[in-house]
Amino acid sequence: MKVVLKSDAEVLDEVLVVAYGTAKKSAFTGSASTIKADKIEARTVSNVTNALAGQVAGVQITQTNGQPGTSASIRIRGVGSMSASNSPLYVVDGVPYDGEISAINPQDIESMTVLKDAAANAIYGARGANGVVLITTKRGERGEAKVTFDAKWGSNKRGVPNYDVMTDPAMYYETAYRALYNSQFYNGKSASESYAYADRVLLDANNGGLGYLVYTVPEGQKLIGTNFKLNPNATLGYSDGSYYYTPDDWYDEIFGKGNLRQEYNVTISGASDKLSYYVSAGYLDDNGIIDNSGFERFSGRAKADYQAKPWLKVGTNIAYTYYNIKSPSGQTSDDWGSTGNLFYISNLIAPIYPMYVRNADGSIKVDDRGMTVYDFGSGSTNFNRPTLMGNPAGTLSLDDQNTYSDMLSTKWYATITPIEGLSITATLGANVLNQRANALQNPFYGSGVSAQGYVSVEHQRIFDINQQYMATYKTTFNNVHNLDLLAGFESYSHKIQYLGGSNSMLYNPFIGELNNAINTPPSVSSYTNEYVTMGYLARAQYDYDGKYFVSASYRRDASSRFHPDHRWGNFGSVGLAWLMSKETFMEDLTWINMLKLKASYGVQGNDNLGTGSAYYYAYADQFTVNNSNGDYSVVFAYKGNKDLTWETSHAFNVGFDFELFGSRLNGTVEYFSRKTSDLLYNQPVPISFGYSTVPKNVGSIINKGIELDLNGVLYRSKNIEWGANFNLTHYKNKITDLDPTVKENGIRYSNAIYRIGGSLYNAYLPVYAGVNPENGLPQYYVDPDNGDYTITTNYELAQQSDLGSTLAKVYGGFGTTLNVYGFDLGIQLSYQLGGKVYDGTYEALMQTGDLMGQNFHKDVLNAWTPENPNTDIPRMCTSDISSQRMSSRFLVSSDYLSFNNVTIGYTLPKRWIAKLGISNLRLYVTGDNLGVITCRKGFDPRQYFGLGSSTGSGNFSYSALRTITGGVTLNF
Amino acid sequence: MKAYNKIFSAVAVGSMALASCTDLDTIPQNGTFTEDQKQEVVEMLPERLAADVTGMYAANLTQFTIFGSSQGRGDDFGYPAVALSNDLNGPDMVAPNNGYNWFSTCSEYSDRSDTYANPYMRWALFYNQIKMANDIINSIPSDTDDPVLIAYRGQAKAVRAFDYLNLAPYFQFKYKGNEDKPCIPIVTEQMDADPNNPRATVEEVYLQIISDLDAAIADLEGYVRNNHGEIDQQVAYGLRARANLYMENWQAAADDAAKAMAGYTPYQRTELTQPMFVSSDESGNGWIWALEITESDYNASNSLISWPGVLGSFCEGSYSAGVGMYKSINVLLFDMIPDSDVRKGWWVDENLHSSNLTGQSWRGLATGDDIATLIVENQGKAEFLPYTNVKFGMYGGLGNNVAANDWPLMRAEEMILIQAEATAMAGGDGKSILENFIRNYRDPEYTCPVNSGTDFQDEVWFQRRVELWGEGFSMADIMRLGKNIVRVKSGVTSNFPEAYQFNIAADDPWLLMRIPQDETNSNTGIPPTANNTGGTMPIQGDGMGLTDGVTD
Repeated sequence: MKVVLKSDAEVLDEVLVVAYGTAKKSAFTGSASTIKADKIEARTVSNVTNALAGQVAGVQITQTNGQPGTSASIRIRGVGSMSASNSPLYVVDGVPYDGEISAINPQDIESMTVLKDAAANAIYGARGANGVVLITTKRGERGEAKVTFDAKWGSNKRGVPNYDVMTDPAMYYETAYRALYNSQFYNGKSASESYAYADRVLLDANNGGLGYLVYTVPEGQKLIGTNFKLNPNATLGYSDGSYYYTPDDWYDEIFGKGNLRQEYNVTISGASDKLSYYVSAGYLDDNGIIDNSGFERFSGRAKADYQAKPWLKVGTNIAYTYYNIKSPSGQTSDDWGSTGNLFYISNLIAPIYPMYVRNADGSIKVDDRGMTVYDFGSGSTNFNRPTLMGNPAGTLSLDDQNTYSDMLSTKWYATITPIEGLSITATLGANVLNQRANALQNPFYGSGVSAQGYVSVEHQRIFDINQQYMATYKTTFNNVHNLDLLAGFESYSHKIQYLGGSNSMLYNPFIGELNNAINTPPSVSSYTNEYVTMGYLARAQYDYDGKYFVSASYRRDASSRFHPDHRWGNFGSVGLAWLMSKETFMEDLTWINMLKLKASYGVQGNDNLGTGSAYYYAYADQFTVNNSNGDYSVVFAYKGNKDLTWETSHAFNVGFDFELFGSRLNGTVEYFSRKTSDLLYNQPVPISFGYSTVPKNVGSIINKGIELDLNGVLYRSKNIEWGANFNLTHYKNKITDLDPTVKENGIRYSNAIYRIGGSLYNAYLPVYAGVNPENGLPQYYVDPDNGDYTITTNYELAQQSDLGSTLAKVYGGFGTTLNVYGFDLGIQLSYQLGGKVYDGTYEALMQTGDLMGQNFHKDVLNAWTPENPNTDIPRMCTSDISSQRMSSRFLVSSDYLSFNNVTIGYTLPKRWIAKLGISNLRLYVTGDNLGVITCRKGFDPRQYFGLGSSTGSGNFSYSALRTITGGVTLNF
Repeated sequence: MKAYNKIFSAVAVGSMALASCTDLDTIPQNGTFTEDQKQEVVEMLPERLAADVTGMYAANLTQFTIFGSSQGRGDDFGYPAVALSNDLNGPDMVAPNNGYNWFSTCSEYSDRSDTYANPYMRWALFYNQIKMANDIINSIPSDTDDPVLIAYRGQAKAVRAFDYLNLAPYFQFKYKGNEDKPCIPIVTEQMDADPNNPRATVEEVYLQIISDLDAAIADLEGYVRNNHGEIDQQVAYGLRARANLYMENWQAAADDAAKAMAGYTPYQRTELTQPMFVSSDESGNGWIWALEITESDYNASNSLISWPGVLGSFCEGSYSAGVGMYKSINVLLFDMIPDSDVRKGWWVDENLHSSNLTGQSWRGLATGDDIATLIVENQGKAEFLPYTNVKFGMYGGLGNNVAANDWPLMRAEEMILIQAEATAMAGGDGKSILENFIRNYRDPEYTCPVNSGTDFQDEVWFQRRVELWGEGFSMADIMRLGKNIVRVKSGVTSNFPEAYQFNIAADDPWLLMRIPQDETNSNTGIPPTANNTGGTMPIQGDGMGLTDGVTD
């Protein structure tokens, strides 16, 4: 009886991909979560990192940019580093991977395993501190060749709408007029003086007015009356004889149309006794949501493993990907304030401005080259906008940006088995990325005009070599003592060689190459940077009778990022597991199929202070040479620190894995505590030093939390299966130590404070105290942190205050799948609760009229007036300052519920298709990223972990995409 | 056989492992390099040490020198951006009020903030340069007798003095009477990086300035510079003339000014009948010190953010010409300039006329006064505004967009005006110095209406406001003279945008600049509570009735 049970368990036992090998799930002492191909394939994503959202406990995803092909940012079990990277290490089929994740076709991926605790990833030593994501590609399965073909077509639209801004031009003029009037009236002028001022200034762009008149008003009448209402005789549209002016809906003009996304994949795989093979090809064309933005990818992979001799196995895995990211410049979160940013300008432009230049007869003007003439707000017509110069809609279609990339990702290995149980493997992984970026700025319209067009060409070659030499020995003695040993050496080198040039004055306006540009001197640059690590590693795993498990690992690593004196670090871990369900005392509890208690502790390192050139050599002071009037000019560029060394994290994990009720409900509950010390940190120094930061190993942070992961089959019958999954993570981030110089006061930023006891995401802002009911001005508390709750309307007097952590308290995801008579339905959602983030776009839209020409949020209609004294929205007044007055007022909830995916499919009955030689045929429709519920329409907290600032957050970077796709999958 | 193969394979694997010993000593192959690499270069090629000195000067003229090119801020173009900020604070320069104005914060006085980027730049630019000067001073043995090294040290000390002279006047009221008040922190080559560095007193700061300039003058004895971008002994005298002027050491200021300008002559009247101030060698011999800007600094693709693109009026497609963000003179000052003064032509009048446009051509598209009204589509050129400056010409001709104009840091004219003011204040005959200069070089019909004392000082100030308009002296003069800022007076229609129409009293604490938050947050010697406070941001109509002794 017992024996039968045991073999049964082994059959059911899942095999996990783990560091340097695989492990039986039951024997694994660490913490790891896996998402399988089916969950990845369900998502219509061009970059597989986006498919992780809401899927794995402990993993937090933010997507700062919706540009197709860009990676999501992944944080595993909190944030352990201040300045150093918090990104996990990616390992593809055993080889560290620093290339673009989007070069990997998600269809090729068999599984993604997230290693979360030290037992799982300490053996990666140098770079495992922030977790490890193992990506395993598909392989052939024993049997005849299997052919799969998949095709899908879909349409992208903007996934997040604009804020609730004014769309009625009359409302905008009226609000602006009132703000101008108020600037006089509230400052002591008479009503008649104030009206006269507002009448004089309203349309005068050089005097704080709007510049554009888009209403026809009868001769001698005013546009806005003394009742602050649009003249009822005014009609929309105005002609000055040369041009006709009428506002356009920029948002609809830019984002109104659908954009095609198509994807085709074919794979052939199989395996015989000695050979297993997998061959795939894929094509993807994702057109994003704005002009000249997109992602195109051809990918091919060939993978073979061959048992050449009984004692020799060789294999290779070669993937070639060509991809082109067409990513218009200026559409990211760094481009706040850039009028080349379509998202920024379409959010913020007042609803009175035309997007197109119109002839006097009202038709849209076309220039003599046949191009549509866009209104750039200055010099385009007889009117000038006071702000938001430019028109990205007009330039984006004429400009062109391409990043042509060839990624060759290869792995070669040979394993020899000289004696039973011992195997020695040499692995060489070589990844090479050759990337050519051409950017063309057109000479017809926009900022390239005066330069007569502008071109930039950049080439980058990134060459990564990973070498691994591993020996493993597996043995069993006395039938109950199982031992698995690993020892090895690994090195990794990452070399970037860059060459770039740019020039202006294009002969042919459409050719983005340097030879087509004649201005002298052209600007050229090149450099090479290199990063090298090497280390020795060892691991021992022992179990007694498949019941008690012990594992230990050690790694000694060196990184070229540190000075030779501080280069080497020692890392390692121990792990324990107890498969309680195998104990006799549990035998009677038949509803428990599996129950495992596990615990681990380990030490890992982080050397990644940043990606900039300077950080490759952060131990040294650095200087830059330039040309100054024909002479060498050397300037101080970077303050280094010779003593810089490894940031070290100490991770503890304890938890249960369980399978209950006939394995209908399985899951994991874990508690983790990860303390990072000797934090790599760019510590701010007084700017009178002549530089602003110094890299240091400073202080420590602890992340503590719990994770829950549940998967269940709620109902199962012959033709119906209904399943559900749920995961939740709660963690707290706390700074426990800082550099002695800043221990007392903390490290203070314009929006954040690092102090002992606080988190890495503590907001530090003046505290808003509502509106002064007497005069309508915004009020602030003077210095709440020091007990001074005096209220002031003088922003300069308001001291910053520690407003606590903005990190979400809970995040996770849930979903359900239903299979009914061949139909399948999958729904996936993710959520976050209890955090905060600064809504900078809302702040900009809540301006008081001091940013003329910029739109208002409709909430300003409830602004203070003498008749409406009890409101929390300050008065409208052009002479008040509202821009970049950061305060707690705009720190809002970051809660969200995101509808990541809904898929409906139908698999045709086998008997219908068997005659066609098809073994399986499935038709499906998928809606990806269907929507998000947040505290405010237009705001997308999925872009931020927390904090944010006036100019660093809000909704002004490439918005998330909503993609509706239909497809077909064939197997034969 | 089988065993042999196994052994062979094992050996092969083992030897690969040995061959793989990767080198951990990576070194940048780049234009940015480590200190060790720099040392190696200087040991092999000692003349490369000069690059550090050149670099120290270049910090003043480089684009995006403070915030970096990734931010691409429109107000980040080195010293000229600081000069423009100070002039826009003052009474004499007018800029439109709209969103293209990267310097509106100066016109409206919201720059008295510790969080804004503009005042951060006006602080960090100089402290960054002080760091470079300190590094140079530190790298030179104090007992060296190498004349090259001594000259480098002299230049570094003079640069450091220049930097403190560009900070001190704005963070505390005038020297006299405020000697004991807190000013700015001093950083010298002897100091370790200590985050506890309180504000030094005004007196201490000026002591440092004078001692640096004394040392520089000694070190630069006999040094012949390579170009106008470097500091030689005469420039050091000129800087000490400024310092003594601020300290009201009248005789010393007059003496230093005379030494500074020896051998230099002002622009002739005939030279000033067209837009000028493009190149340090264009005039007979009037530029004592300059930022030597070349096409490698500002070419056609980056001219938008440059001084000719923001202050000048002739750079096509720039902020000024492109979107009409022109810098104009206050009508109050313009109306005071006699028609016989050649400088009347430095600005177009109310009707967009200036005789300095006669004979000029904008890329062949327009000539003469038609240049003022020329419009080039697609943000090429907007119509001039009334009183737009045409003082500053354009590298490569009007309408060019390669912004490689040099910037005047010190001209003979400034030294003459210092000499005239200081001589008179010391009791001597400043009046004839002033009259000689104006009559011979600017206005043949000029007679100085006053003889001595503060009246004469006001007359010199008037001449400074006209002569040095746009060159960054406005606020330093206001602060050292203790003057009200008078932009508007009742009865005269102002050309300031209405939101900028206000006057500020000389003792208004709002005039004092605020130390940036990034300093007070990290410098334990200057907690936020030690910052300048007081006053409120002026609003339209404030200070009506204030006078300044010039535009009354």
